[in-house]
Amino acid sequence: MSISTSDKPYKERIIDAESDKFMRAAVAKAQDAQFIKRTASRRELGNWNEWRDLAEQIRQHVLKYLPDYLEEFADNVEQQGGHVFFAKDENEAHNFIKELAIAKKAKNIVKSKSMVTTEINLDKTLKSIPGVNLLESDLAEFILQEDNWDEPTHIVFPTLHKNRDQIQEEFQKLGYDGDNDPQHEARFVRGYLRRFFMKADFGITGCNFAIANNGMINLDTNEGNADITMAIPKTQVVVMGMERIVPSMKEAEVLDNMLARSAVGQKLTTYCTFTGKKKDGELDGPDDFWVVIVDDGRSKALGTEFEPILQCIRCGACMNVCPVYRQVGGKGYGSIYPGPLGEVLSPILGGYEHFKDLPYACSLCAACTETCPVKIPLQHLIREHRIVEMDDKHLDHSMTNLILKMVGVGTDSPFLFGSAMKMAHPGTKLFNEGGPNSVEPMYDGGKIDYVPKAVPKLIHGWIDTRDVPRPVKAKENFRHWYKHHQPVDAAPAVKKEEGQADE
Amino acid sequence: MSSLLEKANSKENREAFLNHLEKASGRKRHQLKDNPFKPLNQLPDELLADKDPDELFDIAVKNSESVNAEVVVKKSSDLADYLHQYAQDKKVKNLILPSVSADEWSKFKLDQWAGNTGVENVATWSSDYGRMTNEKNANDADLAVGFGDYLVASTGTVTVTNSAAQGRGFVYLPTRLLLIVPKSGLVRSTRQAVEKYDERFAGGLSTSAINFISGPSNSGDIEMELVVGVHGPVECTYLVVEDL
Repeated sequence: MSISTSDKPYKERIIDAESDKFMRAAVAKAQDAQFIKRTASRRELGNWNEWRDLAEQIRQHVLKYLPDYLEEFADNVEQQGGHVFFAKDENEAHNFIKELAIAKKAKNIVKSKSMVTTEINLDKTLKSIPGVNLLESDLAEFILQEDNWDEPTHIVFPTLHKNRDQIQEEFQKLGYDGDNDPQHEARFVRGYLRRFFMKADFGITGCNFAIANNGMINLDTNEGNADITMAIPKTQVVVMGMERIVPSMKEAEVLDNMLARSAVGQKLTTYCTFTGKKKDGELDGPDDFWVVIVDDGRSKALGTEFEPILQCIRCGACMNVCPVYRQVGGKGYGSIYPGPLGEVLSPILGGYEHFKDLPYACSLCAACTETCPVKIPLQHLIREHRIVEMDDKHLDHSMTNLILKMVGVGTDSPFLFGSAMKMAHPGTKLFNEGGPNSVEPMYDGGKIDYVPKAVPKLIHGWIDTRDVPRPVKAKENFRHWYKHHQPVDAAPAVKKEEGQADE
Repeated sequence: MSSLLEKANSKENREAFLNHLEKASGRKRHQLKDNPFKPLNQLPDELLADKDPDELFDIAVKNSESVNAEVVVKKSSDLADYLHQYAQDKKVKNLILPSVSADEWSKFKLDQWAGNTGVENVATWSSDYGRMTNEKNANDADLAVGFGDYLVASTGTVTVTNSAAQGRGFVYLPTRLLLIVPKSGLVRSTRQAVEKYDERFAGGLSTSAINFISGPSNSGDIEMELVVGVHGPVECTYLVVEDL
């Protein structure tokens, strides 16, 4: 499955992420910088919440009538001489494009950034064709490719985890002899990739929005690589997730504005293009125009409580505000779709077995829902996944159920409960001495610093990551206090008012 | 081998996919006709609607400059002098021009300039040459002087329609891009520009691409530091013609 970026278990990935100091600093810096830009650009537009209402309405309407819009779009593409292929899964999608590349005798394939092509494992498939050269043209994707196809860690800034020195080192292998200034590094790539662009014969792009009523594709980029990818090669393949469709250019325009503001704090991306098959008389652009519409598990969300995740326009704002993403970065999630979006989408596309941990990489703080330009109730959907995992799929194989049953027995019996209250303080004495994080006198009775390795995971989960105050002495607990306290008369004025109210 | 390719544009492939969506969603197909999209508010149409033309132009200039586009305002009679000077200042060696009609050049009082730009090598994006010759000319050019349709105030954008006279490579491959745009093409918002294109499509406009261009190419991919000039032009100028 190609949305997976790691074979390591979740906990190991988290430990790896924790130790990557550069990555964590880079993510924190990015989140803070984006907060300022994003907020400023939204305020400048004005009425942001009403714009969100409109964007949500557009996306929900399209999902409701998705087959009709796809039909209208496909009709328009075909009428203009283009080709449409509906792919039910990643294999169909990448095999189709592979067959096309072979049929067209493609030699030099150039791609512009697209999450869905990463999802369908397209690069690897195309590279398996003998004699084919393939280059990612987006600056970040190019950097990943040159670093032995490293995995992206953010959907808008895929190389957030790399610094300028690492990039300088990579480029030196390609003949770069400049310094680590990003401006110089980017100019080197401009020249290097331009030479490849000039001989490219097969272009692949993603699709921000497909326009149902005229069969055009709407693409947003800052670098211009997608537009060159659509200019020079004679054959162009557009790969689109099936939900990326809008009724007309009017709705696309609304979403383009909201996408740019939400993703990078710009009013619009530098290049926002509506494009299709070359018209008679035009001298460049795709003679051959192919659109591959991909399901790949998306339809599993249709008609369910998870349908709103298909409203997503891939701006990445949710991961830019997420406190968990801030700590673990993209790699921690083990999916090409990280952050709150990934926590909801990855289990749907990749299955619960593989991504069952992701819905727990969340504090349910709802910052993501608050910032989402299309109003996806992300934290609710994350919670829904937990409910499905526990109640429907019974994916929890730990001792949690047994422990909670024991707690149930204990709290049900006054004798056992009373004994537990008496024993809680002396019983935890062992665990608050000599621990590394003792912060007395922050907690009256001290705190529990550690528990033996042998205790169940559920308890470790609490103790290892939280400050758990040690239970107070039996003589100081609430029940004891309540039993012995003397009621105090209410103040006369209050008493008087109470009396009146009663009358 | 080409079993999958044959499925493209086939009814069977399309219907199986769309019927699956119908089944998965539990919603019947072909209901859209009775339920067309009706926006719940008119915000896109109301954007900057309270501004007078002068205020709108000021906003357009401010927003264009904020995306690193250079905005120059000239009368049509001054365009030729400005372009001569610009090419000289930038030490332009290879210029590419669109193959627009003589009438179009003279509308901007640039007919003489187009025949005598003072630049050493002048290429034209033209059907006289094949696809790759045009791309190569554009790739070699250190300046393209082309025509834009609309100047969008809300985003600092100039829109360009793809045509036989100026294609995609013309806009994206040269080192610098200068777009001549009439001031009468000033529109409030991308919504207004899109509506104008919709009208023109309805009137028979045939183009494979409409480009909304906001300044020079850039990227924040390396440590999120904004660098200008990655794949597309590294400099972008909007030459606004105030009397047209």
